[in-house]
Amino acid sequence: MNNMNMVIPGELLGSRTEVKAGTGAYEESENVCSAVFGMKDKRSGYVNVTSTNGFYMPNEWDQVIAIIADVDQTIWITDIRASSPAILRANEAPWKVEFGNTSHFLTVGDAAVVRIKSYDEIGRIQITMADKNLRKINSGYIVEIPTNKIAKLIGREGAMVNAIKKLTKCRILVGRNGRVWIDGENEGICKTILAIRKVGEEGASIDDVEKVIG
Amino acid sequence: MNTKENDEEKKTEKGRLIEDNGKRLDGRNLDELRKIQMKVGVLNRAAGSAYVEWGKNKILVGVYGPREAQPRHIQNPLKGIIQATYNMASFSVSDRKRPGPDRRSTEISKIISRALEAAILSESFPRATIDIYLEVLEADAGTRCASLTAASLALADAGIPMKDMVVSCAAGKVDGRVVLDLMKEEDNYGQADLPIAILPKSGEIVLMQLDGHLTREEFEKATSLAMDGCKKVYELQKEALMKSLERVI
Repeated sequence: MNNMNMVIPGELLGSRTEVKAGTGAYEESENVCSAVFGMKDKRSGYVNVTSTNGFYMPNEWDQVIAIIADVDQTIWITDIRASSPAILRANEAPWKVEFGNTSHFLTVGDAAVVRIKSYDEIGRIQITMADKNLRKINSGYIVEIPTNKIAKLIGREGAMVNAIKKLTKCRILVGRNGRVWIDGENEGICKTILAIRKVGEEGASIDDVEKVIG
Repeated sequence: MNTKENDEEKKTEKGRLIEDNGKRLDGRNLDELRKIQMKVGVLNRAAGSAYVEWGKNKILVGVYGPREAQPRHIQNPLKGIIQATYNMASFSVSDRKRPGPDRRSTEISKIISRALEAAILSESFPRATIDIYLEVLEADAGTRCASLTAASLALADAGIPMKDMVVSCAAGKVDGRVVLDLMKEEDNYGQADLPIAILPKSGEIVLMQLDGHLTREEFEKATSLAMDGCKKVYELQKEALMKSLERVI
């Protein structure tokens, strides 16, 4: 990591005539400044700052792993590691849910692979399960890593996650919210968890991960 | 003999808080800060954290969130809310402090929240709250400035979007002279204390309090001295954040 590219909140990134503010940056009078502590990156006329640490900001169509926090007559209230709880309506579920029968399908503590349907300006998050590959999670383990390490875990064109899958023979599903689902043989799961933690805590490379898995 | 009597003796022994050579009781010049050490990322369970040693002050700060604000009636649908909780440990001062919130800690919590609100881009997390817990482990005058500086570091560590860092420093009047960063004896027996906090990029003042009396000239001199102190503290903040990357690299 090059310290020259590291910026702290408020640091000048350029003039508005030269660049536009991307993620982690804001515009103030004639200048573009950093809003977070992280690494700056200029690309296609935009300057982005990737925070070294951070919380999950939902984006529409992100695939995430939700954990049910509460159940109502027609909705599930879920935790997706965002600043507000996400709502899953019964009509967005892949089942025919009768009024008051929601807990029969998903109850508090259950996990599901969902997609962000909408995230509005007043912080309301709607999620959906009405799409292919979206389902309730019935087996395996869920590991949490910082959301800014998800890109690293996936790697270029999925190189990192595919290498872990190949070495441990586990099924892995990476949620954009920093939750990773793992299923397979016990030994493989243990090695996968270690490898994912290594990426999450230290930003390890493929070679480091191969060493951890052995 | 308790510490208060010790301080009284320390002061009266020499008669003054500033010696003839212009040095203060701890050997500092009038415009010199106490020794400051900052460390970021000291708590694993917090979203962001910082530890600051400012002279004999020791402050630990943890940031949690953004998370859903509870109870729901405190939620703001247009922006997040900032809730700072300043607490002095019962062992932080020489006479045991009665644990729990009191008038002073409620006031400091409030002013720290207000000062940080000016910097945090809270529109990014409507209906949510950011909880900041400030624990004073050892106190020796200037804990609000040290706490605010540490809170700003912990927020940057947590990846909370801010338009600028917040830095704080105090100036005051001791033995008729304007001095920077008052220590305990100077705070107790001095004539004035002026803590300020600024956004260093714009110079915008986000906190200013005055305890004591200053003339207009003294006030202007103290403000300018405290501003210069803030800029020095800002450099230390930057250094501490960059140093925190060593654990990532």
